[in-house]
Amino acid sequence: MATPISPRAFSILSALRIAVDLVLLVAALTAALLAFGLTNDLPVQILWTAAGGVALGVFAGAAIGSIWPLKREAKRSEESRFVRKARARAMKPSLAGLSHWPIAKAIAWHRPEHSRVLFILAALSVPMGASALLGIAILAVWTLASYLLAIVRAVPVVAREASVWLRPTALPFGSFARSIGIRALLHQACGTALLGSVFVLLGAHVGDVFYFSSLWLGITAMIGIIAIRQSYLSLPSFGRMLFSVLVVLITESRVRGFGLPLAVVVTGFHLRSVRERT
Amino acid sequence: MNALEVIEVHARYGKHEVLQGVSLRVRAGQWFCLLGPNGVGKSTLLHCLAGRVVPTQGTMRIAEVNLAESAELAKRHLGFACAPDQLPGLLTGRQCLEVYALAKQLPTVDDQVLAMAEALRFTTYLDQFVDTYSLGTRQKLCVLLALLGQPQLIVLDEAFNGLDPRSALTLKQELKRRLHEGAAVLLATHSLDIVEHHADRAALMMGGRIVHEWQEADLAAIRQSGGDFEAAIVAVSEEGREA
Repeated sequence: MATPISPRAFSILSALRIAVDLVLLVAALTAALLAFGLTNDLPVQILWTAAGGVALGVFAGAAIGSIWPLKREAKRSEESRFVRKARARAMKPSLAGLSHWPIAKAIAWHRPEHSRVLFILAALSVPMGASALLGIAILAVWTLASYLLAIVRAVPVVAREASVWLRPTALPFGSFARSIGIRALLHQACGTALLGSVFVLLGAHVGDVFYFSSLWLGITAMIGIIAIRQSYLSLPSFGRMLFSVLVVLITESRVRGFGLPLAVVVTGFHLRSVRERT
Repeated sequence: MNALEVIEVHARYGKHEVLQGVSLRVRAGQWFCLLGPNGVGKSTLLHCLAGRVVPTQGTMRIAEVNLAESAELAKRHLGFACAPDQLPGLLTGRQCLEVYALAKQLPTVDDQVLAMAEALRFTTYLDQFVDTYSLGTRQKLCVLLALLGQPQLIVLDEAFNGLDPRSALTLKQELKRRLHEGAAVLLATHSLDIVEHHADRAALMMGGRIVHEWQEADLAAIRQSGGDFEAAIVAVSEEGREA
């Protein structure tokens, strides 16, 4: 410790900070539980028992969590803690690491300290009295949607970092775009298919699910290609991505079915223009 | 043969002109040190060579290939050690080497680089994620990436920062070996010890331009006389400031 604070005072301060966080979390959950229970005429005794259970779970979980990960994960820093390592093998030139990077980023963003917030929201969105199947389906929708959004966000972030890192090399645009984009798009397609299946199980119309899934994939591919192209050329990408998404969505809202072809055209335009520039 | 030729290069960040007409030549087999206080444009010049900053004016040639006209060809001769914080934290050291080797269009990962990894005691870190590395370990990976593919020009920015003495010595020996094989080294550094003992030539940058150059004979004279290079550079720096 490089500051004139005694270790004991530091421990007390840390404990207080964590305790305040936990008390606030329990208070928020209890308030939500009571608000929901009282508006739905549930017995007060049951609500307080549930709130007590929540408090016990939060404090016991925090106590276990404060000891367990420190021992197991002390040597690993936050970002890569839950990312799966590639199998060690003989070294040979390959862009596989580059294609795993956006997925690793999405997984790193979903580490427990972040995704616990998501699960609290997901759990609160399950209606009281819902069947176990419905509850699981809602949790699955939240989890998948969050993962798909994380991949959409990961592609521009990775494209920017990778372009800076690989700038001194002669890596052509095609290889750069393929390695960053294809696996992310594959995960996006599989995740979208799974999400669509859940919606179909929940009673959505197959045609509508297919239509929205295609539109989503078209838009995510467009965002990915714009981000990769702009990063490769060291140009800003956010404004262009936002403008393109807005144009596609506005067109789609005016004329149903035109959004997807427009997204494909915009994607093709960006692919073509980078070839001309390089 | 010139491994690097920089002619009247200007570069700017927004309205601030960082490089104001930098010219230098590094011949094959030479170790060239770029010196100067913080913020005078040393790293910007290196970033121009890496293609991260586009000069507004001037010419740069790597191994006689014009960087602006044939960037892909010129970069094949370049070994650039990026800053440690630019390494991808979610890739392992092995993945970084594999990606860089393919990006440099190499058929295999060089045995010499793998031997260097062994010498630097880096092999135990190969399958760990980069974000778990210390500064020194990251620095070793940056250097290994720069050495991939037998580049004719090795560009290092403060590459000895964070290295333990044994690793620093190993790297110096490896660079000397590469110099004998005909490569050139351009090192931006604040470490005058390296200039005194290893550099063939050195230049001092101030205010976005080179204000003084020490040729091989000048450095040899300082070494022979047991002179103090630190005093020499301070004197030139003061002159540069006054000018």
